[in-house]
Amino acid sequence: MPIPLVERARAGDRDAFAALYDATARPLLLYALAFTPRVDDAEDALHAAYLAAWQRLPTLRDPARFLAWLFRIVRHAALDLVRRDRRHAPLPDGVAAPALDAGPGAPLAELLEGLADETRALLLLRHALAWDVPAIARVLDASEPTVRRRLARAQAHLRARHEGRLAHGR
Amino acid sequence: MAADLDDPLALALRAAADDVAPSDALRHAVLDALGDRPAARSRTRLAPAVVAGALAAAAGLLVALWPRTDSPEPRPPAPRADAPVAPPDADAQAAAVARARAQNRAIYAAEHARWPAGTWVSIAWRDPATVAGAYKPVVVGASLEDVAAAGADAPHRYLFRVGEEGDVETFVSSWYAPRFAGGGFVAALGIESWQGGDAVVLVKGEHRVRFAGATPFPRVRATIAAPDGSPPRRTGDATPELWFGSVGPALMLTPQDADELGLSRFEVPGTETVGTVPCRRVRVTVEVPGLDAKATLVGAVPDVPYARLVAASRARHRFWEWGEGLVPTLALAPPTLPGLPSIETWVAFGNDRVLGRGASPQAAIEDADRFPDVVYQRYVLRWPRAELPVRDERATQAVRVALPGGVEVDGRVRPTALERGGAEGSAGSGASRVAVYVVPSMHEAEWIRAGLHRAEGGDAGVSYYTSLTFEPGGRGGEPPPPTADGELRVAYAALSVRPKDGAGPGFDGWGVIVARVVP
Repeated sequence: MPIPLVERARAGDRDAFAALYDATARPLLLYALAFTPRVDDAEDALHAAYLAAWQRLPTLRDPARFLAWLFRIVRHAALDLVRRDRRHAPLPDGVAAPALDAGPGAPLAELLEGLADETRALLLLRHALAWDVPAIARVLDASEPTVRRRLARAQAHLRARHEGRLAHGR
Repeated sequence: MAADLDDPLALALRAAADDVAPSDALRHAVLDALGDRPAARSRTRLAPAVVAGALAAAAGLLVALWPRTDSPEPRPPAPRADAPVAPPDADAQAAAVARARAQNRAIYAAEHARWPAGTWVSIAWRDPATVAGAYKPVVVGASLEDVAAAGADAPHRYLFRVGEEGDVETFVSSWYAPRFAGGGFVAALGIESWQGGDAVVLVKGEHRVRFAGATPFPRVRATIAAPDGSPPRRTGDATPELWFGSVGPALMLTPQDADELGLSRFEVPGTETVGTVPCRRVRVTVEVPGLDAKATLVGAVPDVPYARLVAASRARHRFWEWGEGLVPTLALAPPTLPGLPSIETWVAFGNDRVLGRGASPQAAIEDADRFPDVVYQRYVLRWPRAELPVRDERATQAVRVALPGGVEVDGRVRPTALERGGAEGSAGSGASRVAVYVVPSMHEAEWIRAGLHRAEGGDAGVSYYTSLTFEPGGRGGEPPPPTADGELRVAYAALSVRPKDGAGPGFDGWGVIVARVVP
């Protein structure tokens, strides 16, 4: 079912592409928030990414790799957006980001503040979406042991950040 | 590993993510722009700098990384087939048609015994005040050509061959669709048909056309036109869809079809009762594209209030009660991609298919509004269906609710809802993030005039809200059955709400209407 859908979209079927959009938009939006904490910006990244994906779909040789391919496009689109707007320059772990306007993504951004992009991505996929390790490994094109190891590190970073903020009364 | 999901920080992350969902504007911006270079999104929401950045990013991605590929042209916006089509003086026209029809019926009753079988007859009474000089209301001839010109511009005309008129009864097991074609359709066109699964093949001589895939039930497409070839008042789909089967009238049309094609000038005396629905009998010309098959046949046009057609479709559209083998064919949920959990979604359902889908009822409704053909009724449901949480609604505030179509009703809502701008908060697992407005009494005509029949919640919503709202202090349970006092219905609507006492804020946006609807 899903792979024929990708094949149909690859052949130019807009309804199939719309179905793929519906199936992937929310996970990809949360994933994009790892790179750019504003929901507006993340949506802009998705906008660019989906249009690019539609244009580029005919060159996707293996439909089974569609998801990993799409996640990669979103990552590129989000980072490209960030590069063009230095407000959202990637921050190393431990460096506090400037305050964000209130909005639907604000609580999420506050929780993930100060963490590296890749750390945020793993935490979002695991905790915001409750995906298991095999699913995360599949979309990030990484091995399961690698994801497991990075995830443990990401969770430790999150905990350390939280305890640090508590200690400083924030 | 799963224990990490119960960690307080993990739970906080998940809760914070609950409110993050792609906007409807994004979906439209993406899907409407397919095939073109990325287009600007809604400028009402994005600052110019952000738009410019997005466009630059999109253009950069496309130009720098990938060569442009040829792709189909974007689809033009679809016209709404069931948007009002009548001219401003529709009421006056309808009255003139009804008056002329009554006169023609009286003429037919008085004179029909005089006409030999096989004779062609035109009966076209006119208001003497509108006619200069004398005219003949009845013209009789040996062929259709002999009588076709008589009364062609009258508001109403009977045009028939003696012997084909009169009352008939036709069996149907449900109201299959707004338009449906029975066994008489293929007979009139002189074609053969084969059916299998959701496909139907029509054959005439060397020509063969296959229709498949629109719904689990076979459908074909054909042009429909007035027998004199006069153009319709409005340009719709040139080949509208017809449910196709072996029972029912040769062709069931919609009241809109009859209005647009001016079929009141091509009626046949008598009533065709389809199931329990009385219909006018009309001559109409049909043609199947791709086949050398064109014929004028006697079809049927419902002669009942619109609410009756809505009710018939409401029964048909209860897809969750269809056979277990059919439901999986409906593509109710977005596809589950390999290794990923399924995604809950909202669907708008009608005409045997998912008409729209989205992350919210509003998104599903907007998506379904793009469907270009007539739909008498739609359900808007969360899929997969799930038991919804019960809430205590004992404390409510009296409000005045303004709905589309100029409908205003009294209702009640949680006091906190208006303070929150019409939101119920995130509790309730997404059952509805908009507030619930309880309307103790609403007429069927108001329900339809407000367009609520196009976004009905179905049983799940009713069982959820009923006891909370109509039995003070109630906390769940089964909804009461419909009675002479009306039935409980749920629908999603754009609305404007103001406190009845004038105190506190109002709200313009979306909400859930739970109403007792009286006939």
